[in-house]
Amino acid sequence: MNNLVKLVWRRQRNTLWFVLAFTVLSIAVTTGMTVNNLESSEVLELVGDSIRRWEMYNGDYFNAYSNILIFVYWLVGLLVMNRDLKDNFNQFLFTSGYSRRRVYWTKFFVVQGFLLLTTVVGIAVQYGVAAVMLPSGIGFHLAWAGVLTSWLGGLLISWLFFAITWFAALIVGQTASLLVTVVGFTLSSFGILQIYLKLVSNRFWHLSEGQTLILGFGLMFLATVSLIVWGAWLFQRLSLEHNGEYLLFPKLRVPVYIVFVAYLTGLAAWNGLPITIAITFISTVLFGYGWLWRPKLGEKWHQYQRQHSARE
Amino acid sequence: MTLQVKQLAKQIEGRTIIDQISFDWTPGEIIGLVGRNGAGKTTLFRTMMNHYAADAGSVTVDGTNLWDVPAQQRQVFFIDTQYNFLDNYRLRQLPDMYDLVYPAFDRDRFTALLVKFELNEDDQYRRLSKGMRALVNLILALTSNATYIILDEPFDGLDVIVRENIATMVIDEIAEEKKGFLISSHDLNELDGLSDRVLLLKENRLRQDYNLEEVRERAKKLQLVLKDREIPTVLKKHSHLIRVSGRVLVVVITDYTDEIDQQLRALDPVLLEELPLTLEDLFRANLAHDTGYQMMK
Repeated sequence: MNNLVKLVWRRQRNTLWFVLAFTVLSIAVTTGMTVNNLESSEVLELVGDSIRRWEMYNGDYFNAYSNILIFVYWLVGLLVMNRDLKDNFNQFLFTSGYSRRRVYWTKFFVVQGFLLLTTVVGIAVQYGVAAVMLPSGIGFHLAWAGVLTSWLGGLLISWLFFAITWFAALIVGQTASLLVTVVGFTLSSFGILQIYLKLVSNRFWHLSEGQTLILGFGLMFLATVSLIVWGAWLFQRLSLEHNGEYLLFPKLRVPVYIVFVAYLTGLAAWNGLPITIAITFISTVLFGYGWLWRPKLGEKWHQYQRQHSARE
Repeated sequence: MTLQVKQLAKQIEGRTIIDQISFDWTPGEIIGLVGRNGAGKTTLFRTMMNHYAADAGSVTVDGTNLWDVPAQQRQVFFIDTQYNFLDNYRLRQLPDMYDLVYPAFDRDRFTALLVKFELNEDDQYRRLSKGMRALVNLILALTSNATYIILDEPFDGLDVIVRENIATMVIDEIAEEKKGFLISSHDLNELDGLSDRVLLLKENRLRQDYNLEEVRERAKKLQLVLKDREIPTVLKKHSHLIRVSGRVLVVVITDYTDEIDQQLRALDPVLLEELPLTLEDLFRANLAHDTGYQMMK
């Protein structure tokens, strides 16, 4: 193991061990509770028949790939990148004698390696707890088709969420704003799924379930790779004087502004009325401008409020 | 071996913080970097160390660019006193990080120095006093065994004992001429007797690069009491007035020659006494007009 891997591991190991422990515990508890509650129900099979199909399996009582694992990838991307910025570990890494490219990719692969281990352990715990604690009389029959598709799909979704938070934590220098940004983006991404499903199946063309799934996997993988590679490019150009500002890369202001306005307006446009779209567009244009170019407006507003409340 | 800073420049939010900074630094030298608060001393260090991306210029060690060949960075040590990762670590954990980066990190010496300065290795860095942190920073710098050591305001806000400890350690370390120090300060007195060279940073640029030994060889600080109230021509022409107290004049003559000495003695002064020349005197005498650098403190 080279020194850089050791350095990254020493830096991140507490976070990663915590994440592993959290994963094991939460998966064990949620699976155990779900399975245990089945005793009083009339369920005869833990897993439905659709597990035999080549699609991701999300049943009422059992997900072939736990959502907790997706959350863990999301969380680790955020923690690892943000903590190195907030704790000023980047300063040490930048003078460590290793190129930034090596630092970035080493960090990425160490974390990914551990997350893969966490995934394997998490799945083993989930399936193990389900098998061991399953009340008698209830069947637990799996099929490779659904299991493999779920694992692959689950991993692709996990990697995408990891890439989103990892990238966001690389470009956003304020922790609170970062949280608001990634939580907002993550929650709104469920809307993107609906848009995607409508796009691939409409009156002009229609993709089969399998094609929709494969295209979805492909797009997710593409988005993940793009974010990770773009992150590597940006990391090499990271200059720490912007630490503490919303954007660590001032040149990203315009792209972020466009994405912000277009993304939210696009979401509103999908199901909204013209008035909703117009209001969303105007508010995102104004809010985005104030947020990205006039951070002092917020400070002045707080000062005004303080003075106002002091007078009262 | 030489570290060269060439034409280094950095702007932050459109404002020039450092511009066209160039100097050479060889092991065995203690260089003082002087400048008022906000002159750009810390920005210079951060840019040299690649924390900030430079807008122009380079930093090389023996001709190799530090940013192109990052491994060369291990020859330079710098702890950012404002932004560093040490806060969350206990002192005994710090070598675990540093010995992965600095190949010659001396773990035994680190422990020995902690004991010498009565620092508890189980203490968290953030729990230490300002002086203790400064000592830990210096201990890490010395035990890293890097060739070039940058200390940013190492004496700032410290008591006399800690200051002396730090100064002594730096002087001891320089004896073998294998290491060089670049020490920033906004207070000239702190660098007095410690620096071989002083770089003066003013208005974003390096205005002066003084070899103090050469300057001191030529300069003298005198305390005079003259018989007449009128200031003689020799003083008007060659000296810089540092202080007047009644009839007592304190002057610095930056280029003291035998001729000036004879002329002064010919005046038959009531008192003609040489005083120890401080760095501040030199700067007042040399730079007050060139740079407006008068009141550092």
